[in-house]
Amino acid sequence: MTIDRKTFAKTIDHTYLKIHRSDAEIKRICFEAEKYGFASVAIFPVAVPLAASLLKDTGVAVCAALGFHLGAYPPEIKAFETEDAIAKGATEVDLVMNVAAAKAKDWDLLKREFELFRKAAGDKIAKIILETCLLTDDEKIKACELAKEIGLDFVKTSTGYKKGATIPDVKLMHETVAPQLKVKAAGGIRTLEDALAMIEAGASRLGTSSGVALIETYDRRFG
Amino acid sequence: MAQIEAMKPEQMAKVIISSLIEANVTAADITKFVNEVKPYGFASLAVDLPFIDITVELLKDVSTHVTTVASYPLGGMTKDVKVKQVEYARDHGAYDIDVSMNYLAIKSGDFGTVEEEVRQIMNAASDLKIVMIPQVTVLTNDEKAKTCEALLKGGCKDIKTASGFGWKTEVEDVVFIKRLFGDDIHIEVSGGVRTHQDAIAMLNAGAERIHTSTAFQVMGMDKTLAYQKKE
Repeated sequence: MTIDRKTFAKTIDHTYLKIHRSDAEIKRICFEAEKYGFASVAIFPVAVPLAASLLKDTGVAVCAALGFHLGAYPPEIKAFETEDAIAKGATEVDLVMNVAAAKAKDWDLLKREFELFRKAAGDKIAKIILETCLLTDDEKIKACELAKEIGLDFVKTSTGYKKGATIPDVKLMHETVAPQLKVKAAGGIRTLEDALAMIEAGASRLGTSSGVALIETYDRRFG
Repeated sequence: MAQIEAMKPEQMAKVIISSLIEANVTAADITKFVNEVKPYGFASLAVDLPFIDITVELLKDVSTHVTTVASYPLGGMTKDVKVKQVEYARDHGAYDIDVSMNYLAIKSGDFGTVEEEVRQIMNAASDLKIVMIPQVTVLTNDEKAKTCEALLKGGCKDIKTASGFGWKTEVEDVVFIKRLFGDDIHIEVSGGVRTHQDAIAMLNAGAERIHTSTAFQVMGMDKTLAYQKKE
């Protein structure tokens, strides 16, 4: 497949969701995101104020990772968490859904969570993380249909803390939600081949900590 | 201090905290888990916030406490969100809550921010016992010391060394903290305590409670929990 460099860079959410580094790491990924024209930096809420100050007026979004990484608490607290992240400077929000609700077939709870998430996110881009490796295909489809019904912006495969995105999952999610919603693939995307295959399968965004390596490989191959 | 060589299962049970915390754990799983371990007299059972109510109800006629968690295990949530989770746990009758700390602030040397987070959480706690998680696995000794100082300044005396989920605690971590802070800090150990001997070594080093996913093995019994993390 062919994709121009600028469009490719704008699929990448440049991600740091680990706990062993300092503010210097946040500064580094913000610098790289602006340099390469990535879509966003994806970071924990505690890092949002710093990233928001560094990325003001750059066209790079500040994406707060919410509910990490288990997502197992009440929707009202998740809604508060969403509002809090946006108040502190987040312009996109990725929330881990209540996986247990799907496993228990408590679709009413999941619907309420998605509704409160949508309301709390307002006009910001709202991505719900399914953690597909824990779900059956039926559960993935049901969660995707709910996300479409509520009008979220993206369905996202994975937190990156468990098994990551697979091509069949991205295809299934894309078939279920397109064209109204988009798909973000995350977890385990380390090579240009991985990245292009995910885009081919229907992903509009890639959550990865390998963004710089991906774009440099792109340049070597197509530049 | 006299060194323990072994403990009877019922003695060991009194310092064990067993947990069932995973993204895909349902109320039905919690019920089976609690009913399985209830007869053994553990110190506490740890569950996620939505399951406090049913766990309190299932344990109402025994002395085992209910533990829950905030911003667990990554600590990346803001202090305002952690306070909301603490308030929820407090209002739903949990005995204590393990709170993952602001590791970004710790690694950035910003211990004023660390202390302020602890203070706000302590202010929200009321009767709920707060146990902060320094995540010693990712800290240098200097960071461990400064984090414990910030905890004490913020008004918290209880720590759980690490969060499990792959983050481990060494006996040396417990020895180090005890050497600097003595009885000012109460230590619960989590992460990598698999066997009876692991637990004995931690207790001899000064730990007071043991978090483990292999509770029966730690008690010295030849059986395994039917309900473990499901991933």
